[in-house]
Amino acid sequence: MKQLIWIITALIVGFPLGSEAQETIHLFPDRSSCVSGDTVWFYAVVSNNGSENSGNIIHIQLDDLTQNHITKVSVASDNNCSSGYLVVPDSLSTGIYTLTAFANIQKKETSSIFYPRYLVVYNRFDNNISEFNIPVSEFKEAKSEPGISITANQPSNNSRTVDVKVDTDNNLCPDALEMIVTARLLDPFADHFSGEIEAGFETANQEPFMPVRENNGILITGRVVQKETEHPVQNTPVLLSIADTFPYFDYCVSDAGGRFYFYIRNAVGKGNIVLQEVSEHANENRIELLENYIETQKAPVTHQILTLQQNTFASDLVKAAYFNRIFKGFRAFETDSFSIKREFTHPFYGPPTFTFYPELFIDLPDFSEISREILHGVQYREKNDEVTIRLFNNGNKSIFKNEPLKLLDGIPIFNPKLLSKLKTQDIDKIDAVYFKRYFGDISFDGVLSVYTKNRTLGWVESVPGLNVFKYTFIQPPLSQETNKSIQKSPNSPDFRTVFYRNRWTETSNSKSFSVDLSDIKGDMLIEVIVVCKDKRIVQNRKVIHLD
Amino acid sequence: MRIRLKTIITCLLIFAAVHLRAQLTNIGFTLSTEANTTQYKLSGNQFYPLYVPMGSEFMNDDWQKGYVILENQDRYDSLHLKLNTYKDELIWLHSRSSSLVELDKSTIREFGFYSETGLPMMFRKLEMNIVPKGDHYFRMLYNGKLKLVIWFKTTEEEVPAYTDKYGYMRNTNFKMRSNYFLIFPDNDFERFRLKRMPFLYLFGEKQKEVRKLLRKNKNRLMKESDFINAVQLIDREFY
Repeated sequence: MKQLIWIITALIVGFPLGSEAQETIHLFPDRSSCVSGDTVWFYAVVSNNGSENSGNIIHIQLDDLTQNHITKVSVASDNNCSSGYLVVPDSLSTGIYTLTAFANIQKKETSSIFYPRYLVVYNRFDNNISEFNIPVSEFKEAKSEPGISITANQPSNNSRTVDVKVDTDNNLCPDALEMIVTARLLDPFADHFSGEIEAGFETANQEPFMPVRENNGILITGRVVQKETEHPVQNTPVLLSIADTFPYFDYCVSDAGGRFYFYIRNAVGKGNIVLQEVSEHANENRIELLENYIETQKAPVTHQILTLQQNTFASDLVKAAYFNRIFKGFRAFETDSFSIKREFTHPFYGPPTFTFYPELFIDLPDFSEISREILHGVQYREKNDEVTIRLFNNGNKSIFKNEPLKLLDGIPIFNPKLLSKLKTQDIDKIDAVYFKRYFGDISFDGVLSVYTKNRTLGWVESVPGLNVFKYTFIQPPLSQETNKSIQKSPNSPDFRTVFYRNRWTETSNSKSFSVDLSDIKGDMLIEVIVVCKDKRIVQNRKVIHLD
Repeated sequence: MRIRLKTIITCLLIFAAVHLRAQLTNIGFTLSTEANTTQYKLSGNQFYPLYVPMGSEFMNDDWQKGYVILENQDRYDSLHLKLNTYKDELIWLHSRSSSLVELDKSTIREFGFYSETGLPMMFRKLEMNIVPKGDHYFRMLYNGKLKLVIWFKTTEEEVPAYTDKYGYMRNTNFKMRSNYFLIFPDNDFERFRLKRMPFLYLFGEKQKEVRKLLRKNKNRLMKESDFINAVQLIDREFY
């Protein structure tokens, strides 16, 4: 009887836990080692995703073995698989680093499991790489599972091309959702660590906050603290704005920990966000952004000296990177572009009652003249060195008692004097809303939005209380230049370490392709990963020994 | 002198702080973390009710609980809403500040009023290609390839003179009409009266087959539910 009660209790307790499947994210980088300054490309596959209404943003962070965070990118997945790249900082020291993929929602469960991959980085100025601190982890051996077979011919004497054929079992093929194939140089040292490892949260450091499912959006979190005491500031409104022709605006009220958050959708690339606190004590406080990293368990490390073969390979790779820069130069990706997709037809302040184009009128020397001559419904007063602006209220045909929300290039400003010196030639257009506007829980007595012709944020630095942050949003999609897409010059050496990488979303029983080897000596590793419809991952790898 | 100067500066600072806060918040209403959300905030203009001596400018004079879905799919539930059929606008009672907000039509995709009997009364914003052209809120009776919708419209009509509750002479009445539309798959809006023949005329050459189909299904097109069933049948059979 007691046993029965135990079973029933276990079922009752266990059922809700089991009903919500946890997400797991598997990361497949295109290499196991690189030289600092290189770009590592990756695919990240989300599996065991129990919910239909799930997020699609995956964050990939690069940490060292002591869990210091180096860099991070965020990518949007398509059908539960995302691709992206991570530029390894040029100055990164030689060592072993971890690449970890996670979704924001995983922060919700302390039992979340992550599958980091080790990445060996050789600093490009390191001439003698002879020893490493290596992790003592339980590696998931890079396994060869049944269902996939890889065949490759040995290249003939003068040829540098290898023909590869990948066959999948009939049983596996109908279940396959996509197939990822990589052919790359085998690193005799790094490939000892290329398998997946399993890691949980370092719970002591974990601070779960706003674990929302990010779907084509990025959650920005920050804190308001007192400058002197570093105490969190509670219940203070923080405004976020992004300057654009179609300005973005949002607000958040800080919680007991002084924390605030903003969820920005469809923002791609790296852009400037402007944050400001609106309270009487704003000048006593400081706004800081919290970085969105996860803290995973540290692996114990031990010391290892490289063998001669490993040492030679590492030196060759560093030299290859050096000569590659001489022959091909350094090509940085355009990471500074920024775009944000419009979700609505009007800005947050709704359809303007009037839009004025001052350049259509005669030249006027300041905003006082502009408001008097052009902006009907805008009352601009200068008295005792004080400036006040009031708008006409179309709702009850009177003048508002309070200042309107004033925007300069989409950034809210509370000092009307910032507009005073603007001439007609400086202004592109002015939107005016002659209604009391509501945006969530805040309201404005009309809106006056001035767009200048020169929309740089240079002026923001000089305004107290306005804080500009450069923020990296979703990585713009970019495809890796491998395979045949690179036009090789016969007179310059070829120092590629990844020879072939492809992802097929329509799988068939057999795939054939040829791989052009590079001028770096070494064996070739072919890795095949098949993602099944049930999100099962089947993989196989084969080493091709080249003479 | 110094004390007086200090007092003036303090007063000025307090005034500036209060002034700054007044620019953003409603008087007597303090922002709290309750206002925080990762969704796009509901936005709109302050709504000023009209003085309506006879009739109403709303579909229903009482506040009804409902939901709103924005164009970006964000959903808000348990809102106090009223449909203003005179202006064709949705009015939201912002309970934390007790304000009336005319929600921006450009941000709204769908809204509905909860019903005790089951399915909510669902409205969609659709762009009408006939006069009056533009975006209007339609009640969705059937939503397939064919759509059966109602556009509620209140107009101010002249009536024989009467005295309102303030003792003034008035001669207008706010009257709401239900305009039924059938929307064909090519987004062609056809208005009809809720009668058998006007409905059948909408199908032109297919009229005979439609009539046969309805007869076969014993649908006599007597009441609104018959028309909903008829459109469902026709949609399934011919579209």
